[in-house]
Amino acid sequence: MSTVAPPRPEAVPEIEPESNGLVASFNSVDTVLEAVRVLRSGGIERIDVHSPHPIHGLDDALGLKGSPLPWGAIAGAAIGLGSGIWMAWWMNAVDYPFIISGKPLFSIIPSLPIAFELAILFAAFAVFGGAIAFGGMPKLANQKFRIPSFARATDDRYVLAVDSRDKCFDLVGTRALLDEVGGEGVTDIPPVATSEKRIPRTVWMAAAVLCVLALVPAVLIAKARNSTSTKPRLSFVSDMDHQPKFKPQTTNSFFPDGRSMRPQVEGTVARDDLREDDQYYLGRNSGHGGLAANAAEKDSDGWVTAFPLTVDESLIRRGRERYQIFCATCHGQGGDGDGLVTLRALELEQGTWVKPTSLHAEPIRGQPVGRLFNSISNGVRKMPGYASQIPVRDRWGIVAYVRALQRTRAATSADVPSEILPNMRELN
Amino acid sequence: MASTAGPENLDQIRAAAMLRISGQRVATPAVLGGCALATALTVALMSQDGPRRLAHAWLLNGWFTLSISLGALFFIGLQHLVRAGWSVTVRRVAEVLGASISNPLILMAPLALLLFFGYCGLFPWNDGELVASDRILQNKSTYLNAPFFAVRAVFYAGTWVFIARWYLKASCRQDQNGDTKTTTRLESRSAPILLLLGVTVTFAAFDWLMSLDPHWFSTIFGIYAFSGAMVAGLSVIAIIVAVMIRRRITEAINCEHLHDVVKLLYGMNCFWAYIAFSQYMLIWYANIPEETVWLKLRQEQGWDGMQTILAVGHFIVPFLVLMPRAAKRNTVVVIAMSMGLLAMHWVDLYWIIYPQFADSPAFGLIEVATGIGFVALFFMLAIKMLCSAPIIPIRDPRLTESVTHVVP
Amino acid sequence: MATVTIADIDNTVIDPATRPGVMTGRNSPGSVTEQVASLAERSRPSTAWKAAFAISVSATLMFFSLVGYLIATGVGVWGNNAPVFWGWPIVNFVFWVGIGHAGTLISAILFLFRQNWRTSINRFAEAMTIFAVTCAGIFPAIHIGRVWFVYWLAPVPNSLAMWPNFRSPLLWDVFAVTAYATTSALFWYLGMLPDLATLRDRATTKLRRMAYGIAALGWNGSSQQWRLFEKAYLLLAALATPLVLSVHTIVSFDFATSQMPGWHTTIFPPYFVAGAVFSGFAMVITLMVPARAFFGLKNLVTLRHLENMCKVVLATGMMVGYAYGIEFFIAWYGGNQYEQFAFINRALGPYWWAYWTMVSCNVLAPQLFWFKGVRTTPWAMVAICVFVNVGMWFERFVITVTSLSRDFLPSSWGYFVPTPVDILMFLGSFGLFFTLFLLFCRYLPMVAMAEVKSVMPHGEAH
Repeated sequence: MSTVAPPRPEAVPEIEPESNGLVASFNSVDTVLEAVRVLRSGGIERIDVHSPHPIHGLDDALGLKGSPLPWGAIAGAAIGLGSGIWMAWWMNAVDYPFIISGKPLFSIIPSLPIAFELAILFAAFAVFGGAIAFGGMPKLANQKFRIPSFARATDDRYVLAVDSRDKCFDLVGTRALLDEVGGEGVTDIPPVATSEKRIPRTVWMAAAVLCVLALVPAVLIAKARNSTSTKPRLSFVSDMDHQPKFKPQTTNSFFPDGRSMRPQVEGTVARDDLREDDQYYLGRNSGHGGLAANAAEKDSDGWVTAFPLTVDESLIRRGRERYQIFCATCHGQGGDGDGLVTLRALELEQGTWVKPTSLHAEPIRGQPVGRLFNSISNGVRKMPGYASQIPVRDRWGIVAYVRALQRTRAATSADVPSEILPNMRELN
Repeated sequence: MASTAGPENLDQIRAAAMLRISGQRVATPAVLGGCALATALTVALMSQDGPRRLAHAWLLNGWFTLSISLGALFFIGLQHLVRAGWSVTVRRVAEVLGASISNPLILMAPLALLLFFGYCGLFPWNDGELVASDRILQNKSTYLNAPFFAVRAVFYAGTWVFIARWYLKASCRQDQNGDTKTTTRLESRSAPILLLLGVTVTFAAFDWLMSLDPHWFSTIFGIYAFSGAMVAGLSVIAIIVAVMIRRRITEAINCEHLHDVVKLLYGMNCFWAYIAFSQYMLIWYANIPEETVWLKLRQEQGWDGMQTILAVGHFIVPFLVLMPRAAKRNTVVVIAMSMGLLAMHWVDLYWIIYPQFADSPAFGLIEVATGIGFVALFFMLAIKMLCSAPIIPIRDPRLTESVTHVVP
Repeated sequence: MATVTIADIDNTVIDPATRPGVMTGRNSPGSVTEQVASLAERSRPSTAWKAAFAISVSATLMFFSLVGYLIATGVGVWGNNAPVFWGWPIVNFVFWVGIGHAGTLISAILFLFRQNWRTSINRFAEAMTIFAVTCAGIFPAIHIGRVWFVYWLAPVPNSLAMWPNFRSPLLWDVFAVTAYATTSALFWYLGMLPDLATLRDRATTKLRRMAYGIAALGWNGSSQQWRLFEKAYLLLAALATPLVLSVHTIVSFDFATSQMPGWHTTIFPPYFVAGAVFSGFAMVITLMVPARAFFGLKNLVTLRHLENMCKVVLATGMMVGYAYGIEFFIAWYGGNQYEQFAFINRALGPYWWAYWTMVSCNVLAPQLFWFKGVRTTPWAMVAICVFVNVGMWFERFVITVTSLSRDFLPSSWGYFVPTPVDILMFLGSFGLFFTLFLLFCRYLPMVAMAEVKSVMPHGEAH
């Protein structure tokens, strides 16, 4: 093999290149590697070898080094890991917190599987995308594909290509050199014809029209999302939206009166609806009927002053339990109006919050039990009525417990049973 | 080319490997180990609750050295099973480490013997009164009782010693007669051997580690012990190979072999992390009291810190540091990381064993002295055997392939 | 080269002093191209292919009709009912996902272990992976009931201001299977680029040249492209290896994070992975043996390839057997009476037949692979591998159905019976699998030509 340097072109005339370079076929790995070495020792740098499989030692021979792909993989993995953990935290612990089977809202343990999967997925995207992009793909048109013998570069031949832009390239000299190192079928890479260089106008026009049309659905969706409509929404899958049943407050042609809700049959009382005892059910004496709230302004207006049921320890205990469930959140465990909800609302400076009156305040202490019962049943000011949530007897229990609470504040040592008194300690 | 070794100078390599490594004094580690164990024994007997602590330290360091040998045995078996060529030159190191298994086994025998004297400081299931008051332990007593435990221990030990000796002997015999049939036999028998190793290591881990808390159970525990042993065994092999390269002991072992050993170590360490995570995660998630109690004990009173150390030191740091190709071929990095992994394997076992006995992490003279004792006596045997045989299997039919091995 | 050695004819002979060839016969890069590419270039498929395709397509049509029927009617058309709410669909899902593990394992793990023999079978196995994962993905998707809300599984901002539950193993499964399908497809496609270019360059019709040309993305085999290709392939292999493990691990989490006896056991992750590889390799053998005979690939996919795969089947079969044993032992050792009942019920309860089918097919049948004669007899290995596939389906059935049918509440105990829709859908999924597979055999390079060429001895002119 000759290692003589090719004749250097002294003065290349400024003409349109008639060739983009040269290709030559070789039929074994060794011969093509040898040819690369010869060409490179002759100063030719822009060499490429097209082979049907990777050739070991070729990277060294061509002087190719390093690769950005591992860094892409690491970056992809880091992004995947981070976004996986971020989603688990932000979506389940911040934006939409909900408790599932007693698990913490966020914990690193159950976040790892998804973070891991995303790390792998993003790293794989980075690697695949990097290999495609840095490999100059997709590039469907290639001048070398026009050379018939080039087709065997993906079959069983090793095709060496020299780029005409190389500073040492010389059509005649390089061709001779390629012949000399055993290249078969040395051929010019045809230059790109001027007529082929441009994409036709029609293609551009079609692409532009397509781009505009592609925007139409997006615009329609955006419009629909930002405007209101009186028409019922389209439902492709009815999905239990329309069920064959009658809903309250609707018309219905089945009954003569046209109502779907049926009135009570005359002369009947529904179960548990017979509430004859006003003292027990309303907390006021008979004769002061009507809505209790209307008559509430006058304390003396017929409120019951004595409990209309037997007060015993079990009732007070029940009342304490109900009080702690329903009342203490606002009124506080001691009835001072310092429940957790109140404290929180005051801390947040909620303008509309009204601090509940202390149950130990003089006006409240003076209220008859019937009035207290009425407040629980129908509410006072911001406080809603609890009639629908607390059964009547329990409401009386709460009243009894409130009375007991009030008594504790005004108690003296005389109220304490004598056998307990010695065990009590003076409080400052 | 990285290596100058080739088939041409194979005879030189053989001749060099035949030279006995001299100047290695076996007496020093023997004396050191003996003194260390004696110190531990003395200190333990003088302090209150010392014997119990010593029993746990004994088990910890015994299993630690044992797992180095077991890892080496798995390594040999796997290399034969897949007919690996590259690993031939480092196989002798593994064979020697495997055959050194007898020392930790002998040293651990007293722990089993003590059971016959009713000692229940280590294994609570040996306490008759406790078992009588505990229905679960009564049901297990057909399995967890002193005689059966001892019989199983003898079976495991016998199996391991037999396998280890057989591997070393067959390989050394081949050094003399160069019979290729030996290789065929080693390869074909490695499949049942690996099966036997897998089962014995699993049940040994159940017996010696899992039954420390006789109520607790985990089906993955045997695989956990296996992965830890692989990490320990491969770490020691990597250290010895790296030292050999630095000392230029033979041309036949070079960075190419180190690279592949460390790749395996890297993979097995990831496998360990995978198994450890799987066990932790499933117990954490289902949160069944009878299983979670084991982890809860290990998440309080300072043991939680060890969990973090394990996650970072056993997995994250080696995972990141050993990732680049250059790191796997750098002897300094490999020695440092392998030493770290060995330390982490010790911490892993400490985290498994000690919470059964100590309220919070305790580390003192007893642990250090027992550790030094076991490691010194283990390596005493290993060095002795390594010095009395060629340091590579010189007549292995795949020696050329291994000597000329290049990691692509 | 004039003398013919025994290794040229039978490369399963073991001689430690030499390495048997990956391929048999006289091969050259050109002959490999000719052998593989011509299969994809035949202008008319054979009658056998047409018949197989007709059957597969009919089964596929039946499958999708049944999916339509299911969506229109509701999941009540299946046999799933209290207490067995996870019936055949989940069994089929795990079965297909498991089969989908061999492809990426052969591509990735064997690549990292420098097992050259993988080059002849990896394309085939990867294709199988993708088709199996396709079949697998359909079952949980239609199992959710209201299929039109399937996007709720994805973290997509929606008008309900609602996010998926990231603490649920079922959501992890969605991510895992999606990531696996995507990465496997990328891996498969990247590896196929050079071969698509080969088909493009050999194309004789304009349509084929355009189709393969677009698919090949302009691959020209330059040294820069090969360098990137090799690096990317290595990296994807390194990424796919833990991915393969993680996917079936997460599938096992679907079961093991629960508190159901027989499901909650810590060995599930490695046990499921071993089982998946086991079933995947069995499926590769089942398909490869007839394909290599039918397409004349016996010199590329040699007996040694098949023998190696048989060994993998044996090894993973032993791992599965180990897991069965350990589960039983710990069920007894753990002393939990629910767990003990679950395992006794598996072996001796109403589903004893399923359990013993599983054990005989998965643990006993592969034991025959200890004999070299069996490992090198194609029909025998196909028979055993069919058993393995049956056994692995039954394994998932045993795990899913026996535990659910005997839950904590004896009053709700039941006996699961599949409906005809269940059975036909399972058969239909095979139709989909084989349809895709037959199309692959017809139009794509079945063997990774470029990779096979790269492991051939080089340097000589031919």
